[in-house]
Amino acid sequence: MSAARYFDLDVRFKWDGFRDDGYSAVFSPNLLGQDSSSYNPSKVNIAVIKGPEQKLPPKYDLVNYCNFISDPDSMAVIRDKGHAVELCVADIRNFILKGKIAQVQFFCGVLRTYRIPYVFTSGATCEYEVKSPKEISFIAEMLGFTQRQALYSMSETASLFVEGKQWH
Amino acid sequence: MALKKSVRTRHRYIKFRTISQRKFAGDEIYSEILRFVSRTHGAFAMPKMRLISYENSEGILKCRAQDLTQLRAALALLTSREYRIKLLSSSGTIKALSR
Repeated sequence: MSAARYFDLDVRFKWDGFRDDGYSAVFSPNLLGQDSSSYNPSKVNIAVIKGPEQKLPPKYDLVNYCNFISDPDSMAVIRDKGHAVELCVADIRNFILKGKIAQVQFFCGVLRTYRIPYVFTSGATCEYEVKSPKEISFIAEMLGFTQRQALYSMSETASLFVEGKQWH
Repeated sequence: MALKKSVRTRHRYIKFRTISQRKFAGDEIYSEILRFVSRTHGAFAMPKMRLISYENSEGILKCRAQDLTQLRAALALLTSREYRIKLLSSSGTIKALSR
């Protein structure tokens, strides 16, 4: 039985040296795919939407609602076109530190209710900020997801975007 | 008179490892954890916890069983550019953690 492969689709620092310097130091192997050399998070198109007045760009893979304001029209478009909403741990952390966890929880409730695909990412800016899938699932539990749902989003849902770019 | 086992508070032990360029002392890491957890949960709602041991960058935290989910989430959210706290495992006994 093959082990599940997990992908972190939003990593905000230079990826090239990470595998040599930080990979083995930060988390155990096989978490980000068995062959990291062909997996490049910087090539995933992430559209950042700050408010409902902002329109979706013509070309994107994931949509990041960085202010966690749910917009039913654009979310319906995302679901119908087979894309996904990005739930970035770095943004979630900033909102929790501002005391706005209820807004994040409401946003996540909307995603579950209307069955909009989502992908958890770390949004790491250095190797020490990269999260393992299990740690992200602990954070997702606080937002109303189960650990299984969070792990599924990082493996199955994320792999659809990786396979679409023909990385293996 | 000793409490019955069914009435006693159940505890959980969380094993973690600190990954960093420099070595941190147990008190330093524990104060960082306390500060962050009180910031996320507030002074009144923060989970009750205690550092049991910290050696060779690996430590064990003790908390109540009902606070385990909150504490794990808070430790996972704790980020820094100098170090990383990696959660290794959690268990009801210290003996099971050391296996």
